[in-house]
Amino acid sequence: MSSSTKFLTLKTCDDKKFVLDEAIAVRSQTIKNMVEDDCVSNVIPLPNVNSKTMTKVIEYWKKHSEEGVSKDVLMDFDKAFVKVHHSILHALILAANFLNDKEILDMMCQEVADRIKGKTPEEIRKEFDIKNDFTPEEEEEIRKENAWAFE
Amino acid sequence: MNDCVVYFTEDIVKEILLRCPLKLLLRFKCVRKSWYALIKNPEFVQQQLKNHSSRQLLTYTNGTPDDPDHDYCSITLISEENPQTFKGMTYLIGSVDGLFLMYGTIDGGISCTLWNPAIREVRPLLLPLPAPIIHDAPVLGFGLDPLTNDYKVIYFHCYLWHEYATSIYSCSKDSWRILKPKKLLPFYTDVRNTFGTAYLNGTYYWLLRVGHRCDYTILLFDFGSEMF
Repeated sequence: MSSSTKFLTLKTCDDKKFVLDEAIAVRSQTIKNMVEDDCVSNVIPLPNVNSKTMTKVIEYWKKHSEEGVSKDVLMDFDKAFVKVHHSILHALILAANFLNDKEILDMMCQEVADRIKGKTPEEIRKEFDIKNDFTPEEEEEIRKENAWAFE
Repeated sequence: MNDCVVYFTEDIVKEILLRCPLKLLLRFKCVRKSWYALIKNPEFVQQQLKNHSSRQLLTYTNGTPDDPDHDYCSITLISEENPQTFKGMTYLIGSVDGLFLMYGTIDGGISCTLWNPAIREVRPLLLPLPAPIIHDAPVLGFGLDPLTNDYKVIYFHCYLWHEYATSIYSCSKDSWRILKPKKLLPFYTDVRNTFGTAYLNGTYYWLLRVGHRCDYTILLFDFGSEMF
């Protein structure tokens, strides 16, 4: 690496610090904007991301920044990367959204979409902790609109 | 850290739902009100359509002599799940974003229906007056008005000697409106000889043949400006 390599320090909400090559950290559009606007001091705080999640994100960034890594290897890496407990999956989505990393966000949203296939509305409400705000009559009415979709 | 409960913003929910197949979305409409509104949102529908274009097979049958309804032609959709069949529908226009317009003669009158095979929805259209005279073939076109993102049906037919009635149907308003073309349609041409139609980018095209001679003209209708 040339002597111009710059390092950034990222600080997660649980006060862990990650020192990272700027060239890798700017995969996050949020960090990139901060660097370009020259408003990066010594430490970049990431109030919405915990260290466990950030470790995963950095693992992804590093793998995808490696030189000479083949497409097949990356595909296998991505496949393994999304196979995580749904709490981590959800945390990664929030982190990718905050860091504005479209690549991770796309991949993770796709994974959630794949996982909720075949689920019922009740299971979805449970998984996303959603309160049903329809009256039973309203819900029945909507179910009737496309009854075949519940077959 | 309590990481069991994660609240997604509407943006993230949208990103996830955009990646879901249509059948699942129809089921998820009843999860909560905001999901219902999102899944019904035309912009969302357009985006979802771009992500998921599934292939389905349409067949058109003339009926067989063994078939008690062999007088009728029918259109059948063969999809992975249920097939849908429409008896008596002889013409199919489309698809425009997966939507079709069907029409045919049923019980001596012209029946016309909009059809969305993906959600199995049909919307019968009551053709506006004056009613077409029997044996007079109506001319229909179906397309998208790119200005308002509204699907429209253009309909005209001859009801007197060389007199044409023209109407336009708007899907969003679910109503017909009489259209007075600014200039006379170039219809010394026999529109019954209409064949060869096409729709592209908000314009419908008909290839018309003049009488029995082999002179051809192209008539086009712009759904945006509603002009021939």
